Amino acid sequence: MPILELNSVSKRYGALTVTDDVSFSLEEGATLGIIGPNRGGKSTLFNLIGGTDRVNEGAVLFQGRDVTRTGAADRCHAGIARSFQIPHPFVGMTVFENLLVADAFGTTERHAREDRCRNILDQTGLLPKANRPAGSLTLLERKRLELARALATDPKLLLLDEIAGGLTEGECKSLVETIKSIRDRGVSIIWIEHIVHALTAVVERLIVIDYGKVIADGAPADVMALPVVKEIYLGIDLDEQAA
Amino acid sequence: MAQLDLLSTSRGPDVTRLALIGVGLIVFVALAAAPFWAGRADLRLLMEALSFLALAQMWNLLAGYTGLISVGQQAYVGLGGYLFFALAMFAGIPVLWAIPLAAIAAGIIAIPTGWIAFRLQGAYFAIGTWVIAEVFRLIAAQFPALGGGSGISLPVALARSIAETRGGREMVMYYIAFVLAAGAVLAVWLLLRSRWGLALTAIRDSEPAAASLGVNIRRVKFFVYVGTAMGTALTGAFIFLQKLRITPEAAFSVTEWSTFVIFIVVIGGLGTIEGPIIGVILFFLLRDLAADLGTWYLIGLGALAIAVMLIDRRGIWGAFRARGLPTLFVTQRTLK
Ligand SMILES: Nc1ncnc2c1ncn2[C@@H]1O[C@H](COP(=O)(O)OP(=O)(O)OP(=O)(O)O)[C@@H](O)[C@H]1O
Ligand SMILES: [Mg+2]
Repeated sequence: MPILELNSVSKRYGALTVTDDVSFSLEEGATLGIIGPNRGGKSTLFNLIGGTDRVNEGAVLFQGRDVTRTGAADRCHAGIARSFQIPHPFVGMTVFENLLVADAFGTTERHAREDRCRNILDQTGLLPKANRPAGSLTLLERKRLELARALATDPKLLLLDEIAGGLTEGECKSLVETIKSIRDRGVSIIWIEHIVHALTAVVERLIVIDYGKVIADGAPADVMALPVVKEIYLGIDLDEQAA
Repeated sequence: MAQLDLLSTSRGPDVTRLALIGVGLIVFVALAAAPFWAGRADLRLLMEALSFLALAQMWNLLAGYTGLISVGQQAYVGLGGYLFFALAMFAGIPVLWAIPLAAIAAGIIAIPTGWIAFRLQGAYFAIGTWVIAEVFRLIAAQFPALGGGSGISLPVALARSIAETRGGREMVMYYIAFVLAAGAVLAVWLLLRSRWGLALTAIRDSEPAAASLGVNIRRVKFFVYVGTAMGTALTGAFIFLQKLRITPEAAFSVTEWSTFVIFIVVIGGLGTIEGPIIGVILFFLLRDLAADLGTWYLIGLGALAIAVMLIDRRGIWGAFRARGLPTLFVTQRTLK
């Protein structure tokens, strides 16, 4: 049974169709990358899967269960976690407290588990900042906090929205290692990223979204070789980038 | 402000915090002993200020944390007052029991009322709460037994039942006001330190993120709506016990119970426990200074609120906080 299934999902904002009849499914434990031009509707897809926004048409199934009308909190409890492209830290709390929210409300455990939070902060490199106000973090640290909070909900499916942008080569490598280790624990991952070589280092499948439509879906090397994709990613050669 | 910065960096925030706690304790003790040092007029003023502090803490919890901007909390001040009069006068319930019972009854009424108000979003919610309060006012005027549109006075015998002497009554009344205000501050503080506090602060800072991390926003908001309705009604019941007379206009006054309360919270600092305290002090100081100015006082108050929002939306306490002043009511959880 697939962990996630999208059946002919559409989303409109007024006259603008942002998600246009999108269908795909993801197997349990699989990793999927999403690329595509700016404003193509990638983040909107995460809003529809995560439940912060509702579809106009179509259905979203999680582990075979129809969650189309389910709220974001309940989808989180079901096992979906996401990072926001534009970070949404709880600025009035410390970094540690940000994780406590995820730990106390995102999991079935009703008591905060400090050690778990500590491990996740350590894994995401935020431990030295644990007791600092989240409002004092830099943009890159805020992105790491997005990842840390998502992990603290104990997800089965992790949605990552452009968390590698702005990283140095070394930082990007260590992020890739972190995401690989999450994958190796059996967590299914969908990752939206413009930095294609980081993406292809982790995912086994790639989807291209343009004007709200899926225009390509397949193994990363095959997808990147398609003429339509080459056109969009003009000048970006996958092999060259990876080298 | 620059001076304050120096203060906190050169001597360390711990010293400033200790000084703050010291001031807080002195004020607390002085208030607790007020009947023994304050004159009759001062005591009345303090009682009123303490009532407003309780109302401000409730409105701040509602608006400052859940973002539910209500301009209709007078619905619950009035409801608390009227239910108190009804319970004490017609159900024969002892006066001091009728106050909490009125609050509980108001909480029960807040459940269907909230259910209706929650159909509305943002500005519509604000307008909706005001409309609901107006409806409550009109309904309150429909009961001839409660004086209809012209209101009713509490029978002397009932007032006497609190204490035989006037001095004794004032003492009891003052301590009710004191417990209400201190209780409101303490309740909000304990709530913010609990698991619920995490959810409330998360909702205040980002609703989409809070929801995505498993916080059931509607449930939290509804709980806070009903809880603050009860706290507001509790205070309302006391306010009209103290006034000994209730009319629909006074009970459901939007100026008194919404406008003034909102000024207090906004000027002092929305979304903080200390903000409403600072706001109440400032509000009553200003009112005292501007007693003869009438309408100009209201205009000045409005101008001050706008100025605060333009200069620093976080209000006076928020501005001091941003410049390094430590909090008095610590809610932070530390990873050791
Ligand atoms: N809540 C909203 N209301 C109106 N329009 C929206 C809303 N959310 C997104 N859009 C519009 O939908 C389109 C797609 O946005 P989306 O953020 O999904 O694109 P994206 O592929 O993630 O882009 P990027 O690569 O820049 O992150 C944009 O034109 C955007 O302006
Ligand atoms: Mg995006």
